[in-house]
Formats: sequence, structure tokens, C-alpha cells
Amino acid sequence: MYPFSREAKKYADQDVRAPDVEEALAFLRNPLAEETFYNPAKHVMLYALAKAILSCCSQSTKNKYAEQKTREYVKRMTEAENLEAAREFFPAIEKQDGKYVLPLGEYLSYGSSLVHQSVENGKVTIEQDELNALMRSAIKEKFLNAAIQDVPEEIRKAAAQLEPPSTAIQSRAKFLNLACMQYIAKGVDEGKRFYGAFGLSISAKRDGLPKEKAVSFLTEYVQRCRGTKAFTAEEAKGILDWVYSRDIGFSCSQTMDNGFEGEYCQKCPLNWKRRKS
Amino acid sequence: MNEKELKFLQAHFRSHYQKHLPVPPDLASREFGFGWQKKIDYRHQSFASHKEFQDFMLTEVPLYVSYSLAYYQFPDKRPVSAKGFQGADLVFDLDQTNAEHDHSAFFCRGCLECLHREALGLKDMLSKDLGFESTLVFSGQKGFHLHVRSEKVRDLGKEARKQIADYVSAEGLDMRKLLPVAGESIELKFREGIRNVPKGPQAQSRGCTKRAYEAMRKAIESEDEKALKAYGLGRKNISYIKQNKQRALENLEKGNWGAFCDSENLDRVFANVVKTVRFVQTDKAVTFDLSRIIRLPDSLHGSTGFTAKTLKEGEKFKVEDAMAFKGEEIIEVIPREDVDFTLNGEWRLRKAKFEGLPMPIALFAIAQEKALLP
Repeated sequence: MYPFSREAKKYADQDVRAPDVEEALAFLRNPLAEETFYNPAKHVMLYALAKAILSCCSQSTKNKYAEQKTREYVKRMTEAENLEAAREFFPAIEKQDGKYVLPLGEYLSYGSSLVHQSVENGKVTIEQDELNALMRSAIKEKFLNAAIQDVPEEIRKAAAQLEPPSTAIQSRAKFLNLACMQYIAKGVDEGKRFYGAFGLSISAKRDGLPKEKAVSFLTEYVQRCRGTKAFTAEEAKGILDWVYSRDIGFSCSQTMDNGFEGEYCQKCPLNWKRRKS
Repeated sequence: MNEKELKFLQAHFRSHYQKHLPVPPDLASREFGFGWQKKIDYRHQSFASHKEFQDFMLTEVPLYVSYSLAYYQFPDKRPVSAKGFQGADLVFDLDQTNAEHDHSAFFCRGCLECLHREALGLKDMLSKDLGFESTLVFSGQKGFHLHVRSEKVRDLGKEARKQIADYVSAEGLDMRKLLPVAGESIELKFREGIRNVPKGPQAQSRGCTKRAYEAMRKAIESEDEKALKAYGLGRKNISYIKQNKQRALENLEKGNWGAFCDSENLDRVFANVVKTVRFVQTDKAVTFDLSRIIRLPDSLHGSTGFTAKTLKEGEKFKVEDAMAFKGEEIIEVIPREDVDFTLNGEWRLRKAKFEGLPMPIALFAIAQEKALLP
């Protein structure tokens, strides 16, 4: 039983325990265990928790784990399962002469290459490879489609464990290695993304990071940010261009005012408040 | 446009709209835009009823009327995101052609003829490939619009519409992806020792690939040297086809294009043939922009005085048929520049030389801002 299927719904509404969150993390990180696959109740619970965890992750982390899991599911499907699972997303799909035929509208809901398909009378005929690609995007979208309000703290913490450390920061950088900048670099929520990019740009400039490197660093940052409305690499680059064309000093108080004050400030060598008192 | 000319056009437009008021389906769910000096002076207008729309049209008499492809819950709210999107028609805009013709910088009838042909081709493709029935509408000036109003397209998102726009123009087409089946041409293997020649469009193909097969079959059957050359076949290949027509057709049926076409040239030939049967240049933004407003079918075009005429199935297009105004009344105008054109006769206007023109022609020249009233 695949956890994204309609059948899986009957296994939902189970109680979640703290160790389950740990298991869900392992479910995301490791290949799908056979014992989990054949235990529908557990599988559905882990899948639901994994969705909740991913909902708190940055875009790049979400994509990475969702793609990984999706590939596993599509790869293990038998031909019969494949058609049955496909009908979850493409209700009118039919198998004809070894190929799959589906209405144009259904193809367009997940397909991305109509120009290369064989289309006749409003129906798209696809080969197995293309169906697998469609299934991957459909399952991935469902995996990432989680409208969860008030996510428990333990799930947020679990999500943070999946985030990779930033690779672009130089070890000798003074400002980019500050705890607040490290925190921002891991990606921030909508509403703070602009100020985050601003802070990182100033730090990068003060640390003498060449602009090209700063651009790729900020691009990574953008991918890690979270939000329903897009915050693009172009927007971040606009901020970086502006900062790099001026001489702006790093301001601890400004960073705090922008909403990036945290426990880490207590141990910060630049802590403006502590030094003032 | 000067006040005097604007009033002249408005007087004629009003009398036309009194008898022929165009109304779009689902009027109350549409956003409208109107223009007097330019095509859209303002938008975000809506009308709850036919009567309200009629009153506006006969009082304000806009020279340009556009309406939204989208259906909204609150069509007059702004920004667009506040309107409550409820779906949209699908529209294709053809206003530029690459087809060869005698081009004239001012009012090119050749462009219109080519675009009409292309629009009919696109209409056919939309029906045969995508299963969409469409209505062909003259834009009122330089091109044509194809409107698809169907439940099938109403909920399509921007990305899906982009894919459809790419499909009809063959944008981003990679022939290797379209024809992934590796075949084996026995004849070529024998002749040149080449194996695994990619298969081309064949009798069993579908959609545009099928039409590419038919186009090539037609060219081979009729030994159409011009077409074969245009597809990229060399002199040697053409002479082989002429001498071995039956064999070439048999191979074509199985998709073995390598039997009559140089293997290193195959990709280019496939692409050329497919593009012949599937390449329509459209303004893509019109197709995928869900907040676009477009000329209201059967409204008047303020730059020509022509009707944006809805063409019936199989109706031949003649620009004179779209002229909204008839009549022999002579109107005196002062041409602003030298201009020659053909429209219900040949006209040669010379700068600053008073000219008495039949009313529809005078109205066209004034709308085009090529002439002023004395």
C-alpha cells in the first residue's frame, strides 16, 4: 500500500509519540524499509510525519528529500501497481498497446513537456518513461503539499536537523561566521527574507567576499528560505548589488531590530547590548 | 487624435453600436478595458447587466473595447489578485507572419492573407491534436484571434497554457525526444553498413508526427522537388526518391527515413518537416497571461473602423467584409502624408491635398491618423 493513495486515508488519525518523530527523520534519510512498506498503519504515520517535517524545511531540503522518497516509490512499483497508482492522479488514464493514454488536461496537471508528446484529439499518448516522470512529479507534489498550522516544536527541531550547513562561508570570515548570520544563512521565514539577505550582503561585503561568491552564497540562502510567496535569487541579487555599491557597516543593533536577536547573542563577541551594559 | 476627428469617429461608432452591440458570454464575470486615445486608457471596469453595458457604450463611445479572458467573482476589483479568479478562456493571437508575400508597410493585405491561412491551420491543429473547438476572430487591424471557450480549458493554469503555446509553435522542440524509437533500416544497413538509424514519423504515428509523415508522403508521391528541397533533402536523395518512389514510400510507412535521406541529415529533415506542419507564430503572452484583456469580438477597432469580425466555420476572409461602414457619402479630408492603399478600390492620398473620399474610406484614413478633417 502506497501512503499517498486514497486507501491510505483509513490509517490516518493516529496518535503521534515523540519517538515517532525520530523514526520519521530516519524514514526521510534512509531507503524505505520493507517492514515499513508492509505495515500500512506505520507507513502512513511516518509518511504524514515526514510531510509535516518537510513543511518546516527550506525549499532545497524539501526538494531533496521529497525527490528521494518519490523516486523510491516509483522505482518499486510493479506494472499493475503503476497503473493503479497513476489513477490516483490521472483518473482517466488507460493502457493501450503497451502505452498509456490520458486526457490532455490530466497530462498538463503534472507534465512539463507537451511539445514532445504524441497528442491527438485531446489525448496524450505516453511511454512508460514519461508516465514514471509524471508519477514522480505528482507524488512529489502531494508529498510537499501539507497545510499544517501550529507545527509542534519537536517537528521544527527535527526539520532543522535535515538542513545542511552552509558551504559558502569562509572559515576566516568575521561577520559571516557570527551566530546570527549562520542562523540567517540556514534560511528564514517569509517576512524576514529581505532583511536576512540584507544582513548577509553587508557581512559578505565587510568580510571581503568577492561578489560572484557572494551571489552564489545568497542564491543558496534563497533556496533555503521558506514562504508561500516567492522570494527570488534576482531579488536577493538586487539587495546584494545595492549593498556592494555602497560602504555600509555591520550593525548589531540593526540586525536585532530586524528580528534576528536570539539566545546566540549572549555568547556573541560583538554583542552590542552586553558590551554597553 | 484631435477632438474633431475623435467626435467624427464616435458619431459613426455610436450609430453602429445602436444596431450591433457586441456582448461577450458571461458579461457580468468579465473585466473590461476601454480606449479613446490608445487601445486601453483604463481597465478594471465591469457591468452587471446588458443594459448597463449598452448605456456605457452609447454614452461614452469608446474607440477600443477589450474584455478579460478570465471570469472573475469581482471583475472591477484591483489589483487583479483581488478579483477572485474563476477560470479563463484560452486565446491565441496571430499578428506576425514569416510567410513570403509582397509586404507593404501600410495596411498589408498580404500579411492578413498569410495570417488567415496560418490561423486556419492552427484552428485545425487545435481541433485535431488538442481536441479544442475554437472561434476565429479578425482582430480588426493586423491579425486574428482564436478563442477557445470550453470547460476543458477554463481551469488550466499559466504553466499549462505556456506548454500549449509552446506546442503550437514547436518551441523548444528536440526531435530526438520526439522520435526516441531507434529503428533499423535494412536498406541502409545493406547500402552503408549503418545500424540503429533513428525512426522518423511513420504511418502509425499520431498528432503532429502523423502530419509530418503525411507531408513527406505527399512530397514523395508527387515528386515535389521544391518541397523535398525545403525539407532539407539533397540532390542525390531527391534523385534516389524519383527513381525508387515505391520503395521510398514503403520505407517511409515504417518510419525508415534513413532509406532515402542521408543519415547525418536526418535530424534536420525531421525537424524541417515537423515544423512545416506545426509552426505557428503566436504572441504567447496572450495565451498564458491569465489577466490579459483582449479585443471584444465584433466590436469596432478604433484604428481602422473595421469590425473585429467573428468568422463563421468555412467563411472566406476578405478585409472588405469587415468594414463596418458602408455608404457613398463623400467626406472631405486633408491627408497628413502620402499614402497608397487598396480597400474597396485603389486610393492615393497626397500630403495636404484636399481629397473627397467615400465615408468608409475617409473613416479608415482618419482612424489610421493618415488624414484630418478640414
